[in-house]
Amino acid sequence: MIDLFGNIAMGLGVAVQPMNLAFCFIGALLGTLIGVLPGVGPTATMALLLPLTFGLPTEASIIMLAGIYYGAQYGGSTTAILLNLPGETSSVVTTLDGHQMAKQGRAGAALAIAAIGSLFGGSVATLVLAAFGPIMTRAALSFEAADYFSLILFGLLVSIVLAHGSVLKSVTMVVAGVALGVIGVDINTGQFRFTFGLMELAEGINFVPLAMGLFGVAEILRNLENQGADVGTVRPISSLWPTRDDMRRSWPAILRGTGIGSLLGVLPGGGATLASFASYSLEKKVAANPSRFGKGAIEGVAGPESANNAAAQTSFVPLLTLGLPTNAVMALLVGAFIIQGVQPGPMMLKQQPALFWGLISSMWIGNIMLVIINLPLIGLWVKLLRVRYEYLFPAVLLFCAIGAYSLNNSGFDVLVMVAFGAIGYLLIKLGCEPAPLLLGFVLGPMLEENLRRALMLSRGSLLTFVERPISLTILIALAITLVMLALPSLRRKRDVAFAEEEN
Amino acid sequence: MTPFGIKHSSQDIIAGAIFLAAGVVGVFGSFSYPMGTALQMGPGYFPALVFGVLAALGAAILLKGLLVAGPGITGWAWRPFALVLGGLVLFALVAQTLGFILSCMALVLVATAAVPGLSLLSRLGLALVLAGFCWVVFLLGLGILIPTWPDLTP
Repeated sequence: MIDLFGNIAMGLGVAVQPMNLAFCFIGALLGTLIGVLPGVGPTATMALLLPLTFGLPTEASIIMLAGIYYGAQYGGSTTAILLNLPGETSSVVTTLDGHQMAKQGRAGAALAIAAIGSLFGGSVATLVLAAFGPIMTRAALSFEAADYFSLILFGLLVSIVLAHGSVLKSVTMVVAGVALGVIGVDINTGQFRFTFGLMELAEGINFVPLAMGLFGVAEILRNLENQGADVGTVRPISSLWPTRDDMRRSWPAILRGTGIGSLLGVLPGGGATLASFASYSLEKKVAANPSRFGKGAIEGVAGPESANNAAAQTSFVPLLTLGLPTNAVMALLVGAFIIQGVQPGPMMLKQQPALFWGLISSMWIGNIMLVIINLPLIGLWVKLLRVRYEYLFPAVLLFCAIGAYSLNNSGFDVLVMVAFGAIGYLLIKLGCEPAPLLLGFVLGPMLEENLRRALMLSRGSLLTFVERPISLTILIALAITLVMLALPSLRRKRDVAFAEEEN
Repeated sequence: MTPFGIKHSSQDIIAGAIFLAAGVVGVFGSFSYPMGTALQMGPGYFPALVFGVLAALGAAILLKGLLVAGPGITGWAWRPFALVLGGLVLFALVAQTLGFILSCMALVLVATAAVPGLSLLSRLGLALVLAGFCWVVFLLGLGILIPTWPDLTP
């Protein structure tokens, strides 16, 4: 415990350096902005801003990118409550009761409870991350290649089970991502694979234009389909303060939401969206009078909002301790770490303690900043919604083009981005979510490397994956998950869950 | 029961066919590299495995699309697709020769043509404002290596 506080103190020392504080603020502010603007997602924005972070020190760039991520979770709830427009998928649930409260003239209370819940959930989850990070790291150091292979396989497949949409298509997207990842020079033999004679592809497809194309450009194309969508009107916000009764109802919901969020955030593919949905259904179950839900029950705002912020924080656990991203945003952060020359994983805590603890501490500061940014500035955020998309999208497009160009100062990466923009749009049209593809692309090379190393160590025997206890445990967990997925009753539940989320 | 071929999903059929084709091509491509053994994997071993799985999954989606009813493909927006992507390609090609300002403006002008009812004047204004803003941020602020104006000296 003393260790923990010492580490957090060291982290705070890093996080309060003026430069890091400034970038934490910029990240939280940008994140809120993105969260508020519908049609501009955190994945696209982080891909967009990656090139801008090249020149920054490692701590500042990672702190800023993390700020964008949890800021977006937060900003999404503002528009969900005020306009019934979820800025992010994780705040879809908040619209159910949050907007009803706004209609009853209680938007202020809903916003305040969302802020308090988010701050509480975020802070507790950060503590969870700080406490479990070192323990997980110690465990991870005894992992060998075979264990890593099983773990990556587990991460890739389980992320699908918990994610959205058709399971078959999501698995296919992961595999397609892994396939794209083999392009480039084979590290073990120096053989060029699928480069089609293009020297630019020697080091593989660049991650940044791929992500910008799949998320930034493809999103723009999708949004341009249905123009003229009208933005609703906002009622005046009376008082920001929740009543005593609101507080009494909200506290237990905030606690439960924080617990669920912290737990689900760690799981592959879990993250904020799943957490907020799970919290909402739990609140509905434990409520004395479930019929109040959907008609402005404050628990329906407090629980999910705490849960999605908590999950946003704890989804850093697998990334920082095992080096495994569990969702598309975390995959982008891996890209950012690698660009900065830091390999995320168990060695990071030892080699870069300032970065590790600085990032964790900055999340606390960032969560407090979010409250400060959000509550007084609600009027401003609402005005921002009036920015017409036809003025917004050329700016995003321009940032993408310049960002991709500046990677190697050549048009090639812009063309890669165009190709993946087209592919991304096609995938959307075919009902395939592009997020698993990005995860497969990032984890694919790690999967291959660990497979080859594991089989070299075991002299070609596949039995190594079931002989090592860690690997065996993971594979059994994977098998159980797959069997459960195949059970019709659970599949129905999952489909119902996501159907409800979409409505 | 509807007869075979009526109950289908064009989304799944096309997606399945694309993944199947990519997988098959990929497997053939992989075999052009040394395979090696499980103990000493060659560069073709893992790709062959992955593309093989991709082809199998593609076949499964294709089959499902042929047998099970599902959504079709709707509302492909060709105009934004061509103009937005065309604008980006244009930017990639002319950035070095035309310089930063003109290439940025070209991209915005082409891409905004996708929006019906936006006058040429407002598009031109938007292009000018955004190019200026980006020049300040990216060239002044971040020192990106694109010349501001085209090089007119012969």
